[in-house]
Amino acid sequence: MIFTITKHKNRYILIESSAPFNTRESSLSSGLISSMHKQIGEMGHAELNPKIVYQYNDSAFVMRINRGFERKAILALSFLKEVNGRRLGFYTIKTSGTIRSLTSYCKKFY
Amino acid sequence: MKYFDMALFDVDESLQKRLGYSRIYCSGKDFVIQETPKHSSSRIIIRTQDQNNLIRFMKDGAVYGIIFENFDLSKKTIEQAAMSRKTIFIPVSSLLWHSVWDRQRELQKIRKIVIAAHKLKAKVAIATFAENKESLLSREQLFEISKMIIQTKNSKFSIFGGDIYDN
Repeated sequence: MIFTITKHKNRYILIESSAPFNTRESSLSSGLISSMHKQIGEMGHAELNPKIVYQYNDSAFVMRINRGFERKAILALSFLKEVNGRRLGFYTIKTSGTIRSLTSYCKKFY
Repeated sequence: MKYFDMALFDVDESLQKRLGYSRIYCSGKDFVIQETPKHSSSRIIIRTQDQNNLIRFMKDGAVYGIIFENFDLSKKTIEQAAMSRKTIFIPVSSLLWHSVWDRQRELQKIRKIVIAAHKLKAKVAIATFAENKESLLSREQLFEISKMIIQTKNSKFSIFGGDIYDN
């Protein structure tokens, strides 16, 4: 059997929380990922493989997911209203293929 | 294409832009939600559980649209909305706080109403009607939720658009 190796492609989502949310604190970032896991289930989590990769300011951060599953991630974040017992809302501001384009967008709007 | 949303509190302009809307209309300033239509300078949206009252109030010219409570709307009410050209608003924010099972049940109800409204050519619009910052949604999120309501591949429905406030 021949395995063809294709380039793994990601998508980056710029997310803003309704209240300050510092993902550099490991408890908060893992709390967010586990809350997402509850929403999308084991299969969805494997498909998405979400990871927080960049914190822009107090409330805006970037999440990396597998390409092609953006819709699932956006829906999961819409219905996610509690992280570590804190009531929060998450808005997906922009989806892009690179972090650079998201940071340039941030510079414009924040 | 311009996108609008409606909220029950005032959202600052920079957040409106970031969320992807041209404008988020505020309750009390741009529109009022009433149980019975009273004199008001802004647009009136009726929110009541009584279907008979809904049908009666839709004949009032000052009424712009209706919000259905508990996602229950009879065919007669939808027919009246189509005849009097009133918009049926789907409040999404209440869906966000339900448990998974309740949410799916509500979504089924909404789906039936939207399909009936489409057949009867009634105007349907989706808006958050958020009471607080946590209930707000961005344009992308509202778009995905509207897609979730109508799951058909070759759907001709467009319940999400900029025509909410067009006369």
